[in-house]
Amino acid sequence: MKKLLALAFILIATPVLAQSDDLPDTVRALIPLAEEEGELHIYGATLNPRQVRAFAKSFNAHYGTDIDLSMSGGLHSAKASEVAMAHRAGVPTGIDVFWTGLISAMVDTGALMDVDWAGDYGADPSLTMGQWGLRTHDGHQSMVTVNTGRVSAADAPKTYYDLLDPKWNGRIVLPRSPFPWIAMTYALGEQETADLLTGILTQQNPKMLARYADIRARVLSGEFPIAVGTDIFSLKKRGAPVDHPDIDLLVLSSSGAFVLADAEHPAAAKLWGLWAVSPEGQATLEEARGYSLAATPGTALNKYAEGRRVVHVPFDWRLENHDRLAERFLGILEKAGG
Amino acid sequence: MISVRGLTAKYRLGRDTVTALDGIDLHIEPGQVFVLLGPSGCGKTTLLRCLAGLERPTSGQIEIEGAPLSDAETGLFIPPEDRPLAMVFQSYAMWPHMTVFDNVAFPLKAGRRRVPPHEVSDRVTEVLTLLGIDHLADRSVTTLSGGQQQRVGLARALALRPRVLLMDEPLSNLDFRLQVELRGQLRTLMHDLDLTTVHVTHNQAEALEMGDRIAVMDAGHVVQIGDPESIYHRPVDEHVARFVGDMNLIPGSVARWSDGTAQVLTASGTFLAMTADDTALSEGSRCFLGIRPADLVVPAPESASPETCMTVEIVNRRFQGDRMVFGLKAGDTTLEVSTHHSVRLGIGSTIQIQIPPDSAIAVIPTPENRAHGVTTV
Amino acid sequence: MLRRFNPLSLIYGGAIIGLIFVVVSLAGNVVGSFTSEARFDRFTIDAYVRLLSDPGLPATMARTLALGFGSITVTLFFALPFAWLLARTDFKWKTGLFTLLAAKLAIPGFITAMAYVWLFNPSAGLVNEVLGQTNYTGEAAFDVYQIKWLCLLQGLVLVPGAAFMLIPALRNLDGSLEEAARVAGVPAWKTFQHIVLPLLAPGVLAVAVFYFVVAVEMFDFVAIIAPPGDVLVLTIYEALNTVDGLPDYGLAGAAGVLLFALSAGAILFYVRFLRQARKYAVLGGKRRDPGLVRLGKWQRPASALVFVWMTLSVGLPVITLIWVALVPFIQPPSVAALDNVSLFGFLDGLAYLSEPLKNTAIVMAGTIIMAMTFAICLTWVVTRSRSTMAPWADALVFLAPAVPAIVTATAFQVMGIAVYQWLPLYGTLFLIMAAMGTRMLAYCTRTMNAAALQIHPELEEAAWVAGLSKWQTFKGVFLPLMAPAIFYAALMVGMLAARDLTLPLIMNSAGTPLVSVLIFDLQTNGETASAAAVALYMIVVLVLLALTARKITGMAEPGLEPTR
Repeated sequence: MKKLLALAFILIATPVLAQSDDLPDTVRALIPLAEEEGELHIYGATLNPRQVRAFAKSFNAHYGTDIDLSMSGGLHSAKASEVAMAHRAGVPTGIDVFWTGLISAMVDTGALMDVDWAGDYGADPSLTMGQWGLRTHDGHQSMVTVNTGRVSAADAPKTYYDLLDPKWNGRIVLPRSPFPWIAMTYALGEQETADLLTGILTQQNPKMLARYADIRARVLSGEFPIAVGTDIFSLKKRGAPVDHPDIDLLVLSSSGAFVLADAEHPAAAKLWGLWAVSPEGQATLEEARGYSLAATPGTALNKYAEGRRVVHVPFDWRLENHDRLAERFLGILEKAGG
Repeated sequence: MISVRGLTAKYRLGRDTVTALDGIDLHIEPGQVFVLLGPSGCGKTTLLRCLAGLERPTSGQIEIEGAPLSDAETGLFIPPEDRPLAMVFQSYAMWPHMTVFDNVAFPLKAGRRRVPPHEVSDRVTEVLTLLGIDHLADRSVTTLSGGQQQRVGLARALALRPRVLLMDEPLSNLDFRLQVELRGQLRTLMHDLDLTTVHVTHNQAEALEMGDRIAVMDAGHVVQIGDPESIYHRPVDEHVARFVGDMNLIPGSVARWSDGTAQVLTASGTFLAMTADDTALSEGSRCFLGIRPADLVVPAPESASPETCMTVEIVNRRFQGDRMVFGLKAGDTTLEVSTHHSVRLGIGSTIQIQIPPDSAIAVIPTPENRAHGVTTV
Repeated sequence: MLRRFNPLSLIYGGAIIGLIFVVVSLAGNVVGSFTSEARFDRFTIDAYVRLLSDPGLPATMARTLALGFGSITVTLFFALPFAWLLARTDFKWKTGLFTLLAAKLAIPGFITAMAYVWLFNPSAGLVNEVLGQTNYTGEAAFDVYQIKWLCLLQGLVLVPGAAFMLIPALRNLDGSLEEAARVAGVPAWKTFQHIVLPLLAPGVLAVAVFYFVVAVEMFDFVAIIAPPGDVLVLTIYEALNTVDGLPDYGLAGAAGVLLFALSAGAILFYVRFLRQARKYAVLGGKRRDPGLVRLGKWQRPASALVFVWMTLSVGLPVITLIWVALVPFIQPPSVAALDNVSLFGFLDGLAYLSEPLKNTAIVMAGTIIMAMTFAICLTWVVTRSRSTMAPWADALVFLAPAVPAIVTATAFQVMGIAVYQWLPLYGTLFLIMAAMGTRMLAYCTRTMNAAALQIHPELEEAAWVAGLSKWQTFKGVFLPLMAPAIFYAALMVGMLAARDLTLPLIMNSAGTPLVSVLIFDLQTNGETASAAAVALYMIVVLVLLALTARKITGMAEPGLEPTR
């Protein structure tokens, strides 16, 4: 009996002992509230159960908590408008954090909670996304991938304009999505981006696919030596014959943690966002999905960004221009596809 | 013409094995109307379907005109379409998406026995005319009455000019008058066309009227084969006696027998009777004294010898139009007698009746080992 | 004066709830088509203007039609003979064929498409490489990126469902009609062609129309094969998903309404045909249980046909799945790749399986119960009540599969949110089951109506006359006679519920992972080996389940069989 009690004490005490000492007081104040809440649900990423456990372990170790973390994923845009609708109707969604790059459906409806991540919780001000989100990783939507078995490093494109080289005719696979081109617009200019896209579509006979997983599969198999619009850091780690070529420009658009206005576990939700940008959180994201902030030292994206012109698409600019550009580029894509 | 040897058919039904046919031997002469008669479940339809090739026998052989159609030992099995026969179904099996004409013409166009296209129309019209339904040619079969459908079914079969015609209870779905009317017509038609016909029925009157020969079946066995009169008058056992026409069966035992006659010992005395099959009898064995209700003489004439007479009590009376039937009682045994409708006997009175020896028959009981068809494995 | 409770009202109640669900799905699409910017409180016809003014629309419609017709042609080519072999013959490999069909239902569509892309893509397809005919820009020996390949693949996939839909109709056919033809000298094949097929025509047409609707709505293959040029379902998917901003419910809805129009045309044709056909659907007289046709020397060609389908439709994807499960990332088979083969995916997949499997089992059971209840009630109302509304109810249900899955899911979510204060079902598995049940309702009623129409009304009339109430007759006569149809519909619903991805993906709530979502997650995550392993486990589980169900319900042995 004594042994059992001792064991129980150790189990309870261990997380407390492991708790970081350097947390701001405001964050520290969230911990007992989050403990009270006991649970946390993140919507946004498709992770396997092992990865979810790894997330939960790192998160709880970071704060010395024992919170039941669950995650789910799906079609972000449809979910976002559903969340907005549920919010208007006062119906709980069970989601605490929407972890995504796409929030426009939720912005006007007040479905997102205002969180002053920098002012209240000491987060890096450059990581805030509007008055709602905290940037957790920098995105992939405009990256170029090559199959290393089919394309040598010397042969690979050096700039986005190299994609127009006739030698890539019939060899490029693209998403049927305007997203990569929206991000690129910020770096290259609108007309230039439109011309580049039109050029690829009209001169290069690219294959267009609807789903990113399919695009990755095709470049992996070597059927198409070049893909645009997805990153493959986690595949490369497993030894797949793919890489991001040495292109002069790196355009990044970001994803972040957005706490929902009617989150049932708001304290835990905020803690999660702060954990995700901590070194432990970044390491966990990198390990699971190859996600990281470009500024986090030592990550695959960080190394790739070294010595390159890195353009960060500002969140506000995206909110402002997304819909208009989406329509324009979709028009160009449809003309080529239809 | 048709010969069947050692035919057995068994089926699995869940865990049970049903023996539908148990070692059938038959020989059918050309031009005969051969009737398979028996209660439902006796195997008569299975036998017909084996002939047609719709069922595959478990063992035994079938031949038509010396050509083997089915031989379980060698695995030979000619499929139905390649057998030189035609069949009329109990349900008529009209193809509902075709007209009368097309129902008859389809096998002539698409079948193994197809005829040159220009002959189809003539053939169809010929049989429709023969059966008096040529005016229905363009009608949809679904609008026809049962009798008309039955004729179309027959026309479809006859148009093939088969050497053997199989009929599975062709009249059983028709009303009584039509049945009686068609029996005669069919028999005449079969003989006019010189068809060998195998006709399945459970109706003894139909069998007696139409058949040249009748095989009475019971529990997968052929119990008796003979012409209608011998079946009627000389039933080999209780089953045949009971199934073919009504017969009074007075329990008793064999006292003595010789040369086609036997003495049957009953509770009401010992009577002389004919025997159907001497070899089946043995002295002291159980048997019935059988006599048709119409063959009893009521009351016994003065001249009747006393050992042919029996004392009975009149129990009841049933009027049947042309006949009057009286229920009689002799000890524990009940009998029926059928008389002219004008005969009047007082209920409750006791009279003497005569059992003429040449009308009486010694009937052996149904063997016990035949009464089952199902075995559980 | 209390009226006694009439249990018959339960049947009507079931039918009405089923119809309400169908209407939710249909209305979701129509209402959606008049919205803009994902708001369901402002209405506009803007989406129709945008859709109809697209100059590419006629070509899109033409391709959609070609896809529908092409797919059902392939489907019927295999499904008709297969259904006949299973229901009506002594085919040697019946259990094998049934197993293959069930297995096909359990194989995720994307993996089949993937296998074909590997083999027949023009630039690096294995077959083209072997033939030395690869080509990035010009003509290769085989080019999988064509509508005809899409038709082939979709057609192959739809075979099990179509076959299972046809089996009950074939079982209920009056056997003496075939026997009459055989004895009259007509060979088995011609009997099938001239007697069985025309009598089966209403059933076959129902299958064709139903699968036409399904084929133009399928997305898995369109997404992966992606032949040049749009089809309607791609327009819908793009509108809802790939524009990574607001889902364009308006455009998706308008395109969905066009899909309706196509489907409604097909359904109208079917209804007219049925009215003509019904007059000879049931004929009086004693019907005979159809016996088993002996195939004899046709065993071989029948086996060959099954073998062809098996290779194309089950063999290739299963081998592909096994291969993918053995290698660390998705790649075509090669000698070099053999070095990386490991069982990691199988172990990893096994570790993930337990909870999703439990949830999937719940969803399967719930969906089967819901779909069967509604379908049986609807079938009874449609075929047995004399209500003038019945044919309309039937047509409405038939239209439901024309609503894209993604729209149905959204409609149910919207309904769930709207009625939350009275019925808090939003976010529960129940809502997923209701949505799945609704999508599969048409399959069930198609299968069951055909069977119900072939049950002679006299059988039920005999029960009424014998003093049984309508409800007792429904329970004691109607349901038992419908058993084969109910079995095959339930089987199909169970398999589809286990595999369906779109509905759970959109409606999935926290804490209830399903196997199909797990597979999708793993695949999206790049963990293709684990995804393939989970898919293989699922195939094994579902096939065993199907075989057990078939054994228990006695569906394996239709009636009497000759002993050998």
